[in-house]
Amino acid sequence: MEKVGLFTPIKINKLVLKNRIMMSPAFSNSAAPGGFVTDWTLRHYQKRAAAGVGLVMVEHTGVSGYYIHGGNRLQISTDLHVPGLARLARVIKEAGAAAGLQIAHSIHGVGLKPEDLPKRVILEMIREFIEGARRAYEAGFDVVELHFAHTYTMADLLSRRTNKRLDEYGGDVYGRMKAHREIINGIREMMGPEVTLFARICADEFVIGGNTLKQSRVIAGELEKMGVDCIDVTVGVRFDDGGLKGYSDLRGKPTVEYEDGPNLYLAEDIKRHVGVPVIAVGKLGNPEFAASVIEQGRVDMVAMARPLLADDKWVKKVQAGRPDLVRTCVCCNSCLYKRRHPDDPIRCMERECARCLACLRNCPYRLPFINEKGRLEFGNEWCDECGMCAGLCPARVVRFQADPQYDWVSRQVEPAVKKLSPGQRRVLVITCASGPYRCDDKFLPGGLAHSAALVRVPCPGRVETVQMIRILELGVDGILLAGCRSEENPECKYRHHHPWAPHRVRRAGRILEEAGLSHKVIAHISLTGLEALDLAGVTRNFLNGLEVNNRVGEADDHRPEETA
Amino acid sequence: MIIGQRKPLKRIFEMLDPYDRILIAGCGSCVTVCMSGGLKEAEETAAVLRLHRQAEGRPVEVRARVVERQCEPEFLETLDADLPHFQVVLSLACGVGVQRYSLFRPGKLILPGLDTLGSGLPVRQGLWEEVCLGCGDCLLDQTAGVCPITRCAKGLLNGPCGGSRNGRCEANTENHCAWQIIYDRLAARGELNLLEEYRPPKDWSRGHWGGPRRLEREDMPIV
Ligand SMILES: Cc1cc2nc3c(=O)[nH]c(=O)nc-3n(C[C@H](O)[C@H](O)[C@H](O)COP(=O)(O)O)c2cc1C
Ligand code: SF4
Ligand code: SF4
Ligand code: SF4
Ligand code: SF4
Repeated sequence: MEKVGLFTPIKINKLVLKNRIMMSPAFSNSAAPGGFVTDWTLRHYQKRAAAGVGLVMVEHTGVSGYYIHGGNRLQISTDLHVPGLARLARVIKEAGAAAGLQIAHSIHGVGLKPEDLPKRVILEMIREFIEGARRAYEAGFDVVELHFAHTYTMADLLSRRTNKRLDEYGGDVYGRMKAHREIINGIREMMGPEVTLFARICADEFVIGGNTLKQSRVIAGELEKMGVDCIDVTVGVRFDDGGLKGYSDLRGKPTVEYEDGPNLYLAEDIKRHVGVPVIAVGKLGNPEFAASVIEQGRVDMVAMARPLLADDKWVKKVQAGRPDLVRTCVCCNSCLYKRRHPDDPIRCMERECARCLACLRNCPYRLPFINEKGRLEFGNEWCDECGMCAGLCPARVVRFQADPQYDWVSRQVEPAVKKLSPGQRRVLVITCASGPYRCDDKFLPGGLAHSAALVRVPCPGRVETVQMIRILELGVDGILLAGCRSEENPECKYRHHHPWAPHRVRRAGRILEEAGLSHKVIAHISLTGLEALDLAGVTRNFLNGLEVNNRVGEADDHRPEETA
Repeated sequence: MIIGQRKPLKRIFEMLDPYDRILIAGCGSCVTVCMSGGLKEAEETAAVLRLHRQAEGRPVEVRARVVERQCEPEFLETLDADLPHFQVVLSLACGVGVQRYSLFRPGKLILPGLDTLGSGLPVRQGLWEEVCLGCGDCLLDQTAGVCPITRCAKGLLNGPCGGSRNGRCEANTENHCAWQIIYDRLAARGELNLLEEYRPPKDWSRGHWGGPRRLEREDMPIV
């Protein structure tokens, strides 16, 4: 059999793609009000098409003018949208790629769930999908991809967890697919069997009670029977339990701590259950790995979103045998979450790294390194997720799921502080969540519940100065960082942070002094075993100390601070 | 690289006193690396400013942003969408960045948030030291790679002066005597004879004292 590689053409329905690389549909936040294509949109896709991508799948495009998701999203909800989209399809095709359009519907965007929808709205939505597909084909797109995944309506309907409808559009997996069936039948009836139709599904929703392979195998099989030509397999990005940036979301855009292709096994499994081609996505930007996925026949095509944001010429460089020139995506997800302005179009933000080398110098495992090209690289394969780099990076480039995260103050501390009574002195106690020094909430009774809040982090040494000041902004009078005695806790994974606590507290104290705010107190203490058991007592001392001792950086402590 | 230090917060509060909508603009290059004017410090300055105003009972709206390099207009343009809303910008770039910004957006008041400390190197993590004054006539080839203009308190070209004790400078015993270091390094290389050569006064007109200097590449205009 002929050896198949990344650059072997593939035929799907009547469409021949020149290679097996798809630009994964990715929201570009570039639409004009009303959902119209802009010059920025054209350039964005044209560049990637010109650099050799086989199929450019244009982003999430709303089929409805009302049920739309946040951000500057494209729409195909009226015939007025067709000319712009037709230009888009034309520039992509003229640049040498096939053009696809992903069409979607979002009730999440307007805060609804499947059971909230009257049947009329479902029927309307089905019609809108069919009309949307018609417009897309008429605009010249070679492929229409039905967005049946992530946090959008069609996935809500598919989901075992969210579809609680009692009528024929709910129930078992077949009922939950009724709308999908009607959409596909409608498109086939209107456009015939020869147009190429993809569907994107979540092979695993990664939410509790959500679909797993067990359901998605059936879904994929049914979609094939309904006449879908290719299954694009993604995962997660369901907001039901973890919310935005929660686990499910993160699995869909795997971050720095994941290995290459962490969701590949799911696509592979789907492939074993269907006859049509299957596309995999998710951290496939390592050229060698991407090639091996196709060569080993694990799936039929690879899709990439972030790698093509980080380097629009990825394909060109790899095809020319120069993968060494590829600008690697570090999977920081800053492109999506760290836009400077909500209206800024999506682009790679990685170059914001100031190459200060703090990560390289301070990683306890010496993982970041300067590669043979002279560039800084994260050797994240062995990363222990201690969060040291994230805590030190002055450009805030390294940010991942290691607490306390970037938004920790607003996410965790603020709700805890809000519960305190404003009338009296209030303090926040930050303790460690690991090792034998883990303290529990039992310390809160004893008259402290109104004046002391407790928040746990992997290591109090990880709390940054800027976070301390932001906490004071919430109105507390003092912060007590209660860590362990590191020598008693040598196994702790976060022990490397331990020595930072006194330094960070000292800096915070200096800043407060400089600002004339010395009545606020930030102190660090290393708890002995006994004190850990009596955290309430320690906290009470700290509170009392606030009354008499306004000096910053010093606990009211009866014994000298041994780490400072 | 350029090193700088945040101005005393009191001074910053004074400068910003009349305003209640303030943009703090960090710079993503040199001053991020020396940890005084990057995004994190911009956020820190913003937080402490809000805290200060809170204590005064005069709330303030502060936003912290960063651009890759404030000395380039194209990077500064990325802040334009925010600009009209804010009455004033506190720039945490070096003096170059602040001047670039004020020239680029003359209608906006751009205030300096850092004191620029010159060209320095990281001695160790968390400590940076000025090592080059940019005299315009580099003599490091004769001084074993150590700059006496910057590091000798008297800027001697033909040192040492005779006042150094135990390797420390007599003007300030905190500092190492630059000429002692030069001597030791030359001795280790067997090049002590360089010390016997008399170095005539430098051409100071090539230094800053001849007025601001310019660098021009005649082959680089945008045509
Ligand atoms: C900025 C951004 C926008 C995205 N927008 C969409 C979208 O509109 N539709 C969609 O199906 N997936 C979207 N995704 C998910 C990607 O298509 C892709 O599945 C995911 O990023 C993992 O692939 P990667 O590792 O190649 O980035 C988006 C991802 C990113 C980072
Ligand atoms: S911003 Fe981060 S995740 Fe996004 S493309 Fe760039 S490196 Fe990848
Ligand atoms: S999280 Fe810890 S182990 Fe991982 S790269 Fe950063 S510093 Fe190194
Ligand atoms: S700590 Fe941040 S800014 Fe510094 S080199 Fe590492 S990623 Fe870049
Ligand atoms: S403004 Fe320019 S010179 Fe100044 S710190 Fe920023 S990058 Fe460096």
